[in-house]
Amino acid sequence: MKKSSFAGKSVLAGALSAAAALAVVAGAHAGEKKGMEKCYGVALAGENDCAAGPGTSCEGTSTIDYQGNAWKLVPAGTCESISLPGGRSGSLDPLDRDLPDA
Amino acid sequence: MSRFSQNPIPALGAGIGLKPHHYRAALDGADGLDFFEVHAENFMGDGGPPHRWLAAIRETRALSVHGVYLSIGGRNDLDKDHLARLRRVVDRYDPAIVSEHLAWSADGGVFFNDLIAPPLTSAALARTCDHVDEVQEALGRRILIENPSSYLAPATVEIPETDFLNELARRTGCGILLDVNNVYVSAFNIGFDAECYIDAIDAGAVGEIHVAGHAVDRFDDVVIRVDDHGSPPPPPVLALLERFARRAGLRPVLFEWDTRPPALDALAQEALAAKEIMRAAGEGAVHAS
Amino acid sequence: MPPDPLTDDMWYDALGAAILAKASPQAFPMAVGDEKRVEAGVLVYRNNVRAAYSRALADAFPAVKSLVGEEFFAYLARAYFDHAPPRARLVARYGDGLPAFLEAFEPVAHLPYLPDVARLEIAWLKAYHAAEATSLAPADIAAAAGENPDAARARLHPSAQLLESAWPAATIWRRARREQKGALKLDATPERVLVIRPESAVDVRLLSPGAHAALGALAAGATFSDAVEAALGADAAAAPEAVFSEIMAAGAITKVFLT
Repeated sequence: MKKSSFAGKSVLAGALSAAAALAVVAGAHAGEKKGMEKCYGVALAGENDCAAGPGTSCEGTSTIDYQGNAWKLVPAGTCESISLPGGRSGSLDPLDRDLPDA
Repeated sequence: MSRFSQNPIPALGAGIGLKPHHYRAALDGADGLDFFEVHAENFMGDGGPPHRWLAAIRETRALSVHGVYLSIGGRNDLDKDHLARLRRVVDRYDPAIVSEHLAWSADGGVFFNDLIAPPLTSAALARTCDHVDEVQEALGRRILIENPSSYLAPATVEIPETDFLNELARRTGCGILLDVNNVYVSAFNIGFDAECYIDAIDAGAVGEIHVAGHAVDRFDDVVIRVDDHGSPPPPPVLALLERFARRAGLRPVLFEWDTRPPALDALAQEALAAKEIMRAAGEGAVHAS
Repeated sequence: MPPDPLTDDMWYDALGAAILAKASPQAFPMAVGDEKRVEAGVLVYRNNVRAAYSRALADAFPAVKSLVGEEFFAYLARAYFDHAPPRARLVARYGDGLPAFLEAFEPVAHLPYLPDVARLEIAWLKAYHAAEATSLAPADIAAAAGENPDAARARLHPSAQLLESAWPAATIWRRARREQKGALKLDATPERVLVIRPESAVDVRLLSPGAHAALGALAAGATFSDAVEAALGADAAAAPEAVFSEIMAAGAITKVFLT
């Protein structure tokens, strides 16, 4: 069965030539960016710092028990606007059972 | 000979910690600045925009490579892969200064992504000396080691931090990167005299000064100063710079602003103001060595 | 009372444990001074580590963050930190375990595409930091491989990564990066993606099933002829010229060599 589905070298060589004629190379459409960004790329925020974080009053001290705050457990970003087959989307609230008793 | 034309940093030199959103301005001019300092870890990838920018910027300015997470003050062996990555960065950019921290960031395979002061004992000093020897050997050059910010006073101190750093420099031949903001922050938090610290540092070993701002945080009724590099240096930090310069003479000064940094021009102004303090106090100094 | 003497090991052990623990320790006898001040000192370290990692995760996964919202992302980052002590020395690699974590994270079980969006963001970051290489021009590929496609193999661009999702993960990713909020109804169409950085900008390209299979075969060392077989195996109707045109246009090949 091998090689029977596609006939031979010369045909493949022709397909490669045709492909080369069809291909619009990627570099060409990086042209959305101008000047320096085009040359050097997007400068992303640094990942390693030697600075300390925001004091004592942020994540480290937080005593909030997230498990008890079910409202925080619901993703609430742009996923809410996306719906998939079967009606599943971010706007569903499948975690009702975690809500504290009123 | 360096393959880059811009290499030495003058003794009276001003620099800033270079953040990604300053790259364009750094290439456009940044007049008056003598050097840029970058964190080695942010250039440990093989290629890509970080290297494209830095290679271009490096053509215009001397560079200082500041390693952050080698964990030189740790109790474990140095991470050989990480050391090799640091070496690649140093080989690639031929910086005028290479520095690291008197701190640990990793322990037992866990990476804390933070700079934590080591215990101040003779055993820790011996280990740290071995680590610095290993780094200097791998890089084939001298490095500077920066004093840490401290938030806790260890129950046992065998060797005061200034003696620890001086002895580290004496035994390994490394230099000291004196961060006057860290001195101020630590002195306040754990209770020592910042001026005594400045006076006790072996001035001859100091190869660079760091200046930065910090946050003042309140936890119940306790005030704690946090080294967040998020503001201009306050007057008492600059006073420590001046005090050191009066005694020791001129050294390159670097201004760090990492947390929500403003435009490059604003940073450059702070760096140049610190340089001016250095000039005024340091030019007439009787050089200690 | 502080232990006497305090050994180095106690300092590393105690501080490491205090940083990783889910709750701040009640007491920290390794440090001296006012009790409240010591407590604050421990909190600064705990906070530094968590804040730095949260920031790193947010920097690396902007689309996931946009999809779930800032507040939920902060909770997610905290849960990810707590689930296993971080081990990667480079912060850029901290999130490598996030897709697997999301697979098992119940609060996002109703967003089945989220792990694949995270995988795409990891590939994006890898491509961003990948080595530089010059892509071979389409005509050069055709000339070099066309001569003897049974023996010609390709070296792919070092930034090139192939992904396959059972969901339209790339479409969702693109939308999230643009912060688009208008309603979008998607089919459960699988998407095949090439992430690549042939020049300065990272490119996320949808591939046809045939091109995805052919490129996967070339990446595994197959000849051009076998790559065509792989394309036809994935999609019997795939046209070889279309398949190779996708691969060439992406700049995915840096060298053609004969074996």
